[in-house]
This record gives sequence, C-alpha cells and structure tokens, in this order.
Amino acid sequence: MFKKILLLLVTVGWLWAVQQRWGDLPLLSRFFTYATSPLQIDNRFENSLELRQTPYGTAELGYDSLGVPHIFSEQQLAADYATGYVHARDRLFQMEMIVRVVTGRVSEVAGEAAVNSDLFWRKFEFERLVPGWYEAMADSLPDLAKRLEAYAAGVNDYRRLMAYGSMPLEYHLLGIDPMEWKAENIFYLLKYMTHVLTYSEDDLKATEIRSQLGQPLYQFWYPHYSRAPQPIYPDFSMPDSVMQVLLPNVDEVLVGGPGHNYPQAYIKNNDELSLGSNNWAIQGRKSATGNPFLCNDTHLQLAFPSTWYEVHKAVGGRITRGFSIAGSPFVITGFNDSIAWGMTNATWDLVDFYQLEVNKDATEYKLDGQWEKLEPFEVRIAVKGKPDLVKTYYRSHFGPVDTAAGRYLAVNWIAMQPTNEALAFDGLERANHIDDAKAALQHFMQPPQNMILADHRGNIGLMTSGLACLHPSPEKGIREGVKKEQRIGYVPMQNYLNHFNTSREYVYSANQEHLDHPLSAHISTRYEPAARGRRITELLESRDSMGVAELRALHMDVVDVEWRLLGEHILAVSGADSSYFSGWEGQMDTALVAPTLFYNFKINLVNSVVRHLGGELRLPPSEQHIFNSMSMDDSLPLKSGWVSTRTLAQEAWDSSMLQLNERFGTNKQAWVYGKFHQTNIQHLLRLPQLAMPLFASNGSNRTVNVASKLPSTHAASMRTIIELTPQGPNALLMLTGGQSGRFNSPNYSDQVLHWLGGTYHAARLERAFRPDLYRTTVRFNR
Amino acid sequence: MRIKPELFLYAVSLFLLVHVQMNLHQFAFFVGGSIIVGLLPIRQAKWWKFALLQLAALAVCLLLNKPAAAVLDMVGSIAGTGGPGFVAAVVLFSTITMVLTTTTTHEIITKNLFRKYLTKKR
Repeated sequence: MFKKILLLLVTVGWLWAVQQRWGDLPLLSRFFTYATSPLQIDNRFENSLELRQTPYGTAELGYDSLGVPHIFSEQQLAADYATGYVHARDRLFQMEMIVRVVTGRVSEVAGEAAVNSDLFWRKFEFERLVPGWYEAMADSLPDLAKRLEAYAAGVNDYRRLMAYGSMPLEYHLLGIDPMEWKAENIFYLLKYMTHVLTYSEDDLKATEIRSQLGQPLYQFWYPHYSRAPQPIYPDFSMPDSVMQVLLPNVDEVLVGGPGHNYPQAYIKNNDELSLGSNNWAIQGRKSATGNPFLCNDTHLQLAFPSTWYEVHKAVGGRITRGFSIAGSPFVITGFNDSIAWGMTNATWDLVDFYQLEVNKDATEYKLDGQWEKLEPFEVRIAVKGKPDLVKTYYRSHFGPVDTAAGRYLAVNWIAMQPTNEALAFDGLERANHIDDAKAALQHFMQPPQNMILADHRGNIGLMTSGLACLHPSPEKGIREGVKKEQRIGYVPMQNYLNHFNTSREYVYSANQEHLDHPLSAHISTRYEPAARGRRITELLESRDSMGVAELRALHMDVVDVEWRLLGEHILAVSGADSSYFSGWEGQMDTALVAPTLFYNFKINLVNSVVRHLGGELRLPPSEQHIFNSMSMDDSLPLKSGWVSTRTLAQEAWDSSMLQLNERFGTNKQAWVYGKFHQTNIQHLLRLPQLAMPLFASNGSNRTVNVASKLPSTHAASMRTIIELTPQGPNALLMLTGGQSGRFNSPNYSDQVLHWLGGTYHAARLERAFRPDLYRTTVRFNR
Repeated sequence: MRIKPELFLYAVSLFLLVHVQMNLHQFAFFVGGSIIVGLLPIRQAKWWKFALLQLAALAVCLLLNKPAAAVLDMVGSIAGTGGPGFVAAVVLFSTITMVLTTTTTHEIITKNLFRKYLTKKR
C-alpha cells in the first residue's frame, strides 16, 4: 500500500513539476515531451496546397526563390486574405510579439527581462483604447475595415490550419500557442512603429543637464538650430503671420532646479540619433532613360526576421509591389502601376513631459486654479516564473502620469492620438497620379514621415506627412502642467512641408532638419546629422544624367563627409600617423586603416567634450554640433573655461590611439576598418544561435550606406530603385536578411549577402498567375 | 491462429501512443493516452515493459517524422545539449512521464479491477 501511495505521489509531483515555469527554462512538459517538442518541426509549411471554401473568393499565390509571394486575385478582399495568410506563414511570431509589446504582455512569456518594457507600454493603456478606435474606424470607413477583417481572417486561417510541425520554433521556446489575430491589431503595429521612430525621454535629461551645466553652457551645447544646416526644403518660406497662427499663444514654463535626476530615462543619444534613412527621386530630365526614378532605403534595426516583408499583388490585373510589414495588408513603401512612394523618418520632437502640482495624498492635481481628480489605474503584469507585478499610474489632462525623482510627471506622446494611417496606405495603393498620392497622405499623421513620390507622368515630389507638436518655446525640458492650454496640440504639416517638381530636378531627404527657417526649432531641435544629406546632394548634383548604375552607387556610397570638418585637426595632431590619411577623403572601407582612426577619433572627441563638461552626461551634445563647432571655432566654452579646439583634438587623438593600441595591438597596419566596424544581425529574441556571427561591413553612421552603432545593428533594411515609365514600372529591390522568420526556411537569411554586396533583384510584375514560375503555390477557393 | 490477448493489448497500446504523440500535440493528451494504456487489462505488466513500449512508440514516431538535421542542430544548440543530446533528453523525459503515469494507473486502478473481477477465487 505504501509503495502505491509513494508511486502516486511521485507521479503527481512529476506531472505538476513539469508543467511549472522554472526561471527562464522552456516549459518542460512542452519542450521535452515528444508529442509537443520542437523535434516535430518540419518543412511542410513550404508545401504547395489548395484551400477550399475560403471566405473571400478566389486567390492564387506563388512563392519565388527568394520567398517573395506573388498574389493574384480579381477581388481586393481575397488578396488581403491571402496577404494575411502569407504573413502568418512567414512572420507569425514577429506579428504576435509586436502585439505583445504594445499591450505590455511580454513578461508573461519572456520573464523579468521584459518588465520595464511592459510597464512602459501599460502606462498608455492601448489595450483599453484600441478596440474603441477600431470600432469608430469601422463605423466611418467600413470598406477599410473589411480589408483589415479579410487580412485577419487570412492570418487566423493559417493559424488554424497550420500543421503542428509548422509552428515556429519561438513558440516552442516560450511555451505558448499563437494568439488569435484581430483586425484592430493594425493599431498596435502603428503604435509600435511610432515608438521606434518618435519616442524618447530627452526632455527629462534636458532638464537634468540644464541644472548641471547652467543656462549659458547649455545654450551653446544644445542649440535650437544647426550651425550648418542642410535642409530638406531649402526654398521654404512662411510669412510671419502664418507662423504666428501655427504657434499656440501659450505661456510655457520649464521646470528646473536641483533634484532632477532621471537615470532610467530613455534618451536618443548620438548613436540613436544616427540611424537614419534615405530617399530621393529624380525627374526625367535628370535621368538617363528620360523617366523619373525613385529610390528609398529605410534604416532600421537589422534583425531576423527583418521589419520588412516583400510582396507582389495583382488585383484585377492592377499591380502593387513593395515592402509590407507583417500585421498590415498594405504595401508601406513600394509602387503600383502608376506611382511609387517611399519614406524616411521626420525625427520630430513628439514627446512632452509635464510636471503636475499634486495635493498631499496625491488624489488631485491643480488645473486652471482648480483641484482636479488624479484618476488612478492599476496595471497587473504577469511575469513568467515570478509573482505578478502591480503598479499604479494615473490619468490626467496631460496624459498618463508616473512618478519619477519624487515628482508626478505626465507624458503627452503622439501615439495617444487615434489617427488612422491605414487610410493613407490604402489610398497610396490605389493612386493613379501623384495628386491621388498627395490626397492619400493627408491621412498620414504618425509617425511623421518624409514621403517621397514619383509618377509615370514624370512628376516627383516630397511631402512631410504627419503631426507636429509646435511649441511656442523650442527649449527642451520638463514643462509645468497647471493650465489646460499648456498641453500643446498637434498640427498636420503636409500642407506646409512639401515641394514638387522643383527646379533642382530632384528631391531627397535623409532625416536631417527640414528647414533653415525659424519654424524649424519649434518642430524639433535635435535632428539627425546632415552628413548623409550633404553627400546625397553632392552626388545628385555631380551628374546631369543618372541611370540605375549611378543610383545604385549612391545607395552604396560610403564616404563620410565629416572628414571635411575634422580632417584639418586630425592631420595637425596625428604626427607621423597622418600618412594613413594621405589621399583619403572619408571612404569608410573595411580594407583601410584611416576609417578606424577617424571613427575612433570622433568617439573620443565627443567623450573629451563631455569630460570637459563635467562628465556623466547621458544625453551628450549632438556629434554634429561638436564637429561643426570644431571646424568653425578656435576655442569652445567648457566647464573649465574656453578650451582650444586643437587641445580637444589632441586629447581625443591621444586617447583614441591608446584605445586602439589596447584593442588591436601595436601594429597599426592591422587596424583595418573591417576589424573595427562589424555588423551584428540579431534574432528577435536575442538568441545567438538564430543570429548571424559578426562580419565586417563598409560604411558608418554618417554614410549614405549607413551602418550605425558599434557593432553596427542598424543599416539599410531594404533598398528600392524604381523607374516609372509610361508603360509601367521597372524596379530593383533588396531586403536585408530574408523573407522568412523561420530558421529552417531557405529564405531566413539568404539576402544578407545581397545586401552586403549591393545586389538587387529585378521585380517581376506578372499580372496573372503562372504556376510554372514559382517554387511553391497556394490556391484559395478553387 | 489465436493471438495472445497481451500481444494484442501491447499492439493497441503502441498504436495509441504513436497516434497521440504524432497527432495530438498537447501534454494533456499524452498523459491521457498513457492513462488509457495503464487501464488496459495487461496481465503481469511491469514498469520496464511500459518503458519498452514507449521507446518502441518513440522509435516509430522518429522513423515516420524524421526530424531534419538542421532542426536538431538548432534546437540542440539552443537547449545546450547538442542535437543527439536533445533527442536523448526528449526520449528520456517522455519515457519517464509515460512510465510513471501508466504504472501508477495500472497499479492503483487496473490491478484492483483485476483482483475484483478477473482473478478466480480459490
């Protein structure tokens, strides 16, 4: 009897134990039981198949050798259904993670490491707000909602019909099943991108640093305007009267004084401020073929899987092709039969912090002289392997409120605006002419983008679409939040910031400042460096006629024009080592030593300035401002007084050489850039086994072919060269990484070498399904 | 030819275990399948016989499913066991689970039923 009881206890104990989560280990009952283990993963997801009785009509699709799906249907909704299906097939886990991130539900599957992210997102309550936003959209735009519903049905049907062996490995590792996809999830995707492209807590750091440096030094090192602007819209003008109307007449008060210390603030440091993207378009008169060309390369984090997913759709014989983002049925950057479009980030200041005046027991805050209720709300975060975490936030007129450094700080972030960018992409896909595209972009509000356009009639243009938060005072920092009007509203800028068919015969953007005009600082005071923009201008102006070869060369250009700002100093302080720079003009090439010396010098120069400003500045002055000042001034104001630029250069050079000696040894010939500058393509879950080992790569955070951070984690995540002929488009495309998010797919990382070598693939543009052209086919409802 | 009832029951168990592990991808189904095997009126059942049964079932599953080398390498490297080590871990873990569940069911329920209804009273 005793033996039986013991056996029962052991069995029950075992069954209980294997179903518990033990730290970061995968769920044992799932990972190590054959019935559910990843040993069951197979390649059946690659098989051709036919699905009957699908809900949105007939569609056919074929995958080519790069894993690009070509979708054919007579009905838009059937094509959207198929798009959902292919996104789920190749990117299911990525889609789920984006929803989990924005709803603050990562910790429950990934553990403690994701708690800060979840706390951040839960504060904004998107999970509470999004269903209402979607409902309102479905009421006002039922056709658009139908597209999203068809897409969601495609995702869910893939999920439902998926063989167990087709479940992506990541689900096995986290011990979860794929979630049901909802049409409203597109809002989460948009908020996620708004975070990637707009969010920072620079205002917190600005307040901290202003107290640390004092106003005069702060003003010099954190200026409102670039000292050498290279604006996107060089011919912009605006009458003062219009500007006065745009800028709200509000008394903005920055808070200050001691005690402002925000070590956890998420700031855009110089690395984060040098990620960039490029786009340009040239008119027929400047093109070798007589037709306009449009080029785009968006710089995002390099990852497996890539942010982008290439897709070709032929709906009723009408083509749309380009890069989508899994989670949305639309082509985000690409072309149709008549127009092409692309984007770069506008890098505007769209996050404001307000310090509230709160009563003793923190139940009320002062607003327009009255005490208003500070409405608390509790978030409970499930953490894998740990007890739940509970935190209280508050709702206020200025946005959600958190406490930091003993203060009640409300945050007003553009992502809280219930805008609907899906309408803009829907319009772009259907546009027949550049004017249709302009009309569609009136609906694009966030994250603000420099949208480049070209059409088959020869028109080109650039339009910065999105909402700006125009502060009457351009000063950064935490603002006082005691009057309703102090919360600054948003203004759509597309009707002010645009130019079409310019006399220069080209338009371009590279995330730099938009204007050399007083309005600029009211939009933002921290743009990305203008080096890429300067180089693009230089190359576009260097030729009267450009063809595919020249445009490709421009994408792959690795010249850092900041050498012109700092070269004189470097040659003066580098002594015998100056020979490494002989004949060098800023080419950031892996085989050379000069780029190593130059790049590391720049890092040390910034460190030197920061040290002279008292050190510990987590938001250092912008590199561009430091380098411009080095080239324009003989001495610079620092904490210890005025210091000559040559002294700063010498310090930077000496410390840089010491570092390089330590890292690479004394043989300077071996300090080639390929050892110093390497690229790191990570996996979404940061699993080294699913990442790519470091490899040498050309370029830097200032070159058109950008490669930001050390090791480089951000670079061109795709490239397009699109020619719009009267007969239709011709396009060369390239995706960094691969189409599939499945490690066991041949298309997981097959395009990495294409990216590195600048190899594009020509976009085939069939209008009707031809099964013999594809590796795998899927037919719906035949 | 008369098939021995034990042989038939082992064959049924093998079929059941293979089916559950290849087609019903939930831990609860695997435990349920093991309980059903434990309930079968197999005379002179022993834990090691159940272990052999599960090993045979896993061998059939692996033969039919043939895990790809790339999958094995990747999963093994993430688990820190290597590909063959991961297969061994899965086999060991699945077998322990099945043997414990089946043996406990058999010892506590099936044997009592045997005693009550199938054993002749002397």
